[in-house]
Amino acid sequence: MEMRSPDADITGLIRAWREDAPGALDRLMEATYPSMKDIAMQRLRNERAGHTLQCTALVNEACLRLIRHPNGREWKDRTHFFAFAARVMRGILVDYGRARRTAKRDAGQLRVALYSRPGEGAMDADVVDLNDALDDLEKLNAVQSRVVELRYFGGLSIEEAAEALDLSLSTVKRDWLLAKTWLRRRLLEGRAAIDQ
Amino acid sequence: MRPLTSEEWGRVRALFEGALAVAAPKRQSWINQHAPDKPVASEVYELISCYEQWPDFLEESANLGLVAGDVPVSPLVGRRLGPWRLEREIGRGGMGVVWEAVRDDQTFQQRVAIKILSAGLQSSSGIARFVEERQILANLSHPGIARLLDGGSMEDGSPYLVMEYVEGERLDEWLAHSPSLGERLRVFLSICPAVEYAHRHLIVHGDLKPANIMVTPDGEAMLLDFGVAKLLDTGSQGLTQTRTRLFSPRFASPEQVRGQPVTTAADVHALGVLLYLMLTERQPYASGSEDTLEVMRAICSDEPPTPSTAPVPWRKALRGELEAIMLQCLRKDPEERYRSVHALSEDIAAWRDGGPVRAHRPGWVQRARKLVRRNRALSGAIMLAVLSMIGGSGVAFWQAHQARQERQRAEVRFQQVKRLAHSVLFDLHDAIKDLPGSTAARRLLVQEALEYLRELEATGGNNRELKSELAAAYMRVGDVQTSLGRASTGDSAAAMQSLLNARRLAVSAALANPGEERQMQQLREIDIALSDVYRQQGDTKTRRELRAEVDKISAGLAARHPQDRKLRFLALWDRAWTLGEGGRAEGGKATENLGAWQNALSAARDVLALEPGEPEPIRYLARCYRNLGDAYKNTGDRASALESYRQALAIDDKRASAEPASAQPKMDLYFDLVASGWEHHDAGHEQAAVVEFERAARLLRQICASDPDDFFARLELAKLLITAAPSWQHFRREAEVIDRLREALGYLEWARARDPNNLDARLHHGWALVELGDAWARRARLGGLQASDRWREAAEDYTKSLAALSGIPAGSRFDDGVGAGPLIERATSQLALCRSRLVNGR
Repeated sequence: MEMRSPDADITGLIRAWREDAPGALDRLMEATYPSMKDIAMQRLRNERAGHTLQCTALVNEACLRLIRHPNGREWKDRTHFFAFAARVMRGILVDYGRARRTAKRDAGQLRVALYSRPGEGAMDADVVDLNDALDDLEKLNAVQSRVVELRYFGGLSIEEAAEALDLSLSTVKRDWLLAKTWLRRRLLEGRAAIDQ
Repeated sequence: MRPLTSEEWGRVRALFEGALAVAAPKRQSWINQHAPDKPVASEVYELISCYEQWPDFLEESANLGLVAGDVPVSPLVGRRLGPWRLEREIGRGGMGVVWEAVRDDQTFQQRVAIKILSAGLQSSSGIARFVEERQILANLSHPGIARLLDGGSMEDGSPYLVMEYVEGERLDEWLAHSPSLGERLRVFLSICPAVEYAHRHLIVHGDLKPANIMVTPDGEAMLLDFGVAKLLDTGSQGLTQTRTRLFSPRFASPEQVRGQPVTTAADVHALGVLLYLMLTERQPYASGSEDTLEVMRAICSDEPPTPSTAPVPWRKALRGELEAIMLQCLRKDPEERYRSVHALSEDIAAWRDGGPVRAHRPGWVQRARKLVRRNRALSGAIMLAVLSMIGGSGVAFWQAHQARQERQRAEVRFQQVKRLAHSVLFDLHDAIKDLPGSTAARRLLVQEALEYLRELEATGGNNRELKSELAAAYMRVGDVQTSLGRASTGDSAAAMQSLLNARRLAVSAALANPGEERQMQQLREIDIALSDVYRQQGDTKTRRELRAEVDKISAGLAARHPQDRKLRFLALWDRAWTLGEGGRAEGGKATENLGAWQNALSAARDVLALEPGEPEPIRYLARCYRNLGDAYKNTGDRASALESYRQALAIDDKRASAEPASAQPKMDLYFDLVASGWEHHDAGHEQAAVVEFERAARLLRQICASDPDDFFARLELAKLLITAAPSWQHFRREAEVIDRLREALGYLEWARARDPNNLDARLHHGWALVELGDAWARRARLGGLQASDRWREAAEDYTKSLAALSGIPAGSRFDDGVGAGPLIERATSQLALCRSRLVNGR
């Protein structure tokens, strides 16, 4: 059996990051950022107006490409990888959204769906605005901002987010409810300001 | 209103959930009662009402989409068109926007795609074309073409088309999953009949491109969007003028670019572009350019790059006929292309089924291929070429001199082996040894080298110089096969053979000329390398004999050259090593051993004073410190041991950061960290121990990542993960101990597959399994529902460990005197315990 050492290395880096080893995040970024960016850009470049793309699909693909465990049992590592990938993908998408904003107007914006229900309408936001809102939330409560990042960009369940953050289920649930409500109001306010 | 501070936000957080649980009418007073400060109270109230309106907000994970301009929500979502309700926008093309919609009747559910002419194009010509398209589509009925179901106008007069909704992926999305060549051809062949069908109905698609083609879940292609399709007028010789240039430039034919008459040959060309893109994953024209004018220029004047040069795994299959088929579609002159889509698809099917292909190849394809072949510069090929050059010139030399005298013949052999030893083993090997993943190439070199060596040895006679050179070459080979502190291929049996050959030759060369220093030094180095191999094999007795010989040689050398500081150092170093071995085994010589290392250290400083800044003496100095630390440890002086390790660490840290690409300083640093970690562990400072072990593991993982063939680093990493498990266990959860042991098992399984003869790997494989069994047993003892599963897991690991340990000879002793015996005993008794628990549990 051939060992895939880059995987082992990434698993190791994730553990180091999880254990708050100094510099671990930088090393993990260095090892994974290029592939994640590749995945995102490959998908985004093929995008055209009106077509949608799941951020969690990007994260999943990154996970498949970067971690392949010999025994496939390391779900915990996978969760932590998702947590990490959610952060990186958020960064990549926001950079992309920013670049489109500064590009000529008809380049279009990178928008994210926030809510949709057939018959009732939908709401979306520019990914850069959402990011700014998350940054503001982080100033109020860093965990809440992180929960949104994990759930929304990483597609983690409440349980997985709790594990990734090493917090209790009820704490994560409560912070999730509050965070998304705060974001909802914040993004609505922003919109009202633009409309006027 | 001022923004809340994070303290206030903390109070909001504390109240939010509670307030949500209170019934709406009582909520305001509940909040006022619990939140005396007004900003917090009103924030809670406001957020709660916001939550109640939008409970599902953000509940789906991020769905991204590109939107032109900044229209936040399309006003059309939920809008009805006849019986259809628009659900979401699924695409935008040159002619309009495409929506996914559902039929809203009570009677039946149907999903459709609705195309609405976009507002900006509602000119009279746009509308006329749209109506024409409706007419064309209504006449088409083919399983490979999305069917037109309905049509109409919106209130503002925009016309719309209701089309069959096609499940699946756009062709470009489908291609992103990297389908195989066979799948690609199958999908392409399913596009052709639909285009053929349209052509029979005198319709040219005119806009074939990946975005207009869907691949259904069954792998069949469906054509969408006959946006610029035009009716052929049978009355004007099958040709009509295009009225407007509404094609996608990438897939346009030269005649479309030039605005010339468009025929079915334009679709053949577009299919050629499509096939080229599908099979080579690149554009035939102006690949990489975003400039429309440049693309259009390239379509008219550039020849596409030879398809078989594309970086796809099946490029060899493209060479020849498939390549000819693609290029025949892409001829600039429509007359030179396939006469029909049918002819094209027949040729592809013929190629697939191994039949004769009609596409003809112009001569330049062959010329281009030759060129490519010349440039296919693979490192392996280059190396083989170099090897054959060396070998070849050697042979020529040999033949030219065959008739000459014995002395000259020996000279020839000597030249050959010198060439071999230096060019292949030294120059070539050194040139590639630091390249990541070069181990496989190094193995190839060694194989070639061994063949030459055997041949030369067989015909070499009794030439002393030749023997010495051969010994050096064999040692080098053994060094590559397995060496400590450097990437090795882990072929221990072969390494031992090479080193024994080297030793035999070196001894015989030394016997021929007893006073020769250089040969004694060579023998010493061979003995040291060989003793390391014996250590890995657990053969302590042979190892000691070799070490005693090393000791004798270096003492003799130093005695003959009392002024030589280097020789003096080497003698003290060897002496200390030999003593250290004995000291560890017998326990009584700890003080003597400490003195020996103190002497070696001061001699190392003398050498360094002579050659300040030289890398080799600096490395020796660090190694002396580490060994001195071990010696202090044996005498029980923990503080001095730690201090010595710290010195070694400081030196190796500096070396490692000075040469970040080199593995050896990292390996040395690793050994320092492990030694220091153990000292902390023994002193009961688990926290400090864990810090050192973690760093050590990180270093090794880096080395492993940079060389997928590095056997030694993987084995060491596994050993670290196993032996440091108790320290980790001290702090972390059991689950993490299990994770680490599993990681170790991964390396060990790999190592055993690589080198089944390596007893050290086998022992540690067994050891890791025993530790893993212990970890499960500890968890099982905690009881609970999963206890019996855990006992079972433990029993399985113990059983596997016994199997792994079974092939190790009983007397073998490895690092620190560990042998298979105690592990076997431990696994056997633990296994019995597991079984009794499992029986009682039932």
